Amino acid sequence: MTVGIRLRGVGRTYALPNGSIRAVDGLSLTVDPGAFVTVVGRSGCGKTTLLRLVSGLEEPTEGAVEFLRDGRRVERGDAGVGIVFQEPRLMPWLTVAQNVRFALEGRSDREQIERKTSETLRMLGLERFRDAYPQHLSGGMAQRVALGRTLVFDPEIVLMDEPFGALDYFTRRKLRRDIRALHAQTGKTFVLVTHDVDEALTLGRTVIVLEAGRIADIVPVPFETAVESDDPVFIPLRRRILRAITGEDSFAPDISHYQEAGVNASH
Amino acid sequence: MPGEDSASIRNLRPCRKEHVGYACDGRSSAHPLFSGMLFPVLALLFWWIGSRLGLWNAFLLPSPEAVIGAAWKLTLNGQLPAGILSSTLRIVAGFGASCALALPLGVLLGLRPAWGRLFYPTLEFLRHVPPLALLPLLILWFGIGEGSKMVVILLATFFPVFLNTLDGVRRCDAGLIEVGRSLNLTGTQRFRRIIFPSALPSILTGLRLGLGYSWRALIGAELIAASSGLGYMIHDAESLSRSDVIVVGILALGLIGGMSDHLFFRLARAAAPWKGASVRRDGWD
Repeated sequence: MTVGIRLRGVGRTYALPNGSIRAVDGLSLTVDPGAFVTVVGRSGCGKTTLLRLVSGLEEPTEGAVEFLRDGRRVERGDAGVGIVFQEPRLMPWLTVAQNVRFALEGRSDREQIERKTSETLRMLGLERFRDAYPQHLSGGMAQRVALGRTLVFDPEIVLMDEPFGALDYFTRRKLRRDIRALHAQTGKTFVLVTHDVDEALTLGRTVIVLEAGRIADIVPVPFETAVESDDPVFIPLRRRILRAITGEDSFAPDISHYQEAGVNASH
Repeated sequence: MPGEDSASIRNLRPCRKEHVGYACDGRSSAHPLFSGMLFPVLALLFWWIGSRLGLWNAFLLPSPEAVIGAAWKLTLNGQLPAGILSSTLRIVAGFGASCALALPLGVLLGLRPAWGRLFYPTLEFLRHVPPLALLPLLILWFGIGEGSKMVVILLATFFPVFLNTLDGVRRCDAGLIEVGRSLNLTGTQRFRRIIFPSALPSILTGLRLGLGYSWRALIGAELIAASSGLGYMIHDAESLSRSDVIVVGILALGLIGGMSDHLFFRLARAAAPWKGASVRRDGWD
């Protein structure tokens, strides 16, 4: 049974030499089990801090992060929370297969580790590269290995911190599709943080817009099938997100010419 | 240039197992051992011809034949093997003691930088004192026997091992340590599975430098005060005006030093295959 996340008045303040900064400011929010939520906002809006608080890499200065299975609270360790960072962060002394099974070593028997590693490599199309070292991988492949290292221990919640940030357009596009397929296939709870509004819209079924550590808007994305980010259906959503962050309304182009061309903006 | 591109593409060939699916530059040179033997062979030839033609006084530089003869004699009467054994045992003991001190201290101060404040002034002072300058005092304290030699080697090798270990541990990517935390590894597991392997190439470089320094320091110490070892053999030959034995000692030192270094390099490459090449910082091959 998949696990959901509940934030209750979560805040995180950092002490600075000349005062303090409030990165996350009293967030309350529930992520349903099996949801795919994207968190979008500009740099410094607190989105990475939010993810680190959920992953347990940082503790909130106030409030609480809770994990719910069947409506009941479970510990983070029991919930199984995996995180994929912006950089692949692979161990350079380990091969692809060894990196993927890094989390399993010493926690399962050898046979099970091998089976899970092979399954994960197959799922991510990395079988051919199982004996390669990270230095010989392209950025996209390295990020897939990092994803594999997280998925291999079967976490109920997968957190991703701008995992495509350093990748080229084509690789990003390919990985976006892979991630959506993976979510559909596994039914796990996915939370992905990004500064890219298009990425947030094409991946998430719900987009949380963060500004100055607070939720500026929660935007449902009511399209079940994968659509490209240039699809006109996104224009009003994109405009709404921009308005929530900046208060401006000039982000979206004038859509009248789409309508003139017979394209209906309401999906 | 297009011509260059196509030439470099033609030169690509599949690489070893760890390069699966990739290609690397196939241009290869002769085995380093062969190309590296060019100058020694030329020097030997020059030495031999010069000796034959009497270009220099045979007392100042004996002929290759005389040196080979002396080496054979010293081998047969056991002096050379005994000298090598005696020096090697001192290296093993002194370098071993140095590693036993420098490795844990380097790891400790690498993990707990704040503790370094306690040690750094003392270590900085010791680092700038050449071990051989301490030898007269060391002989007074530890005698002319093995103790003083061991301390000289320890002092000479401590810093390369310590500083490289410290540096390796400190430089461990914080992002990798965070991966360990995100996977709920304990502190010990993070050290064993992330920090130590990450620091290993640097530690191996320190050990390799230390090994080289240990030979230099030992021979210095043996030249000043010893009753056995290769340094003693050279010193003894000097007082007997046996320049052929001195050359034998020098050649033996170079060969043993080079061999132990090469052996260590092979071990390092096996221990850290992903970065083994960088252990060899001097870029000899």
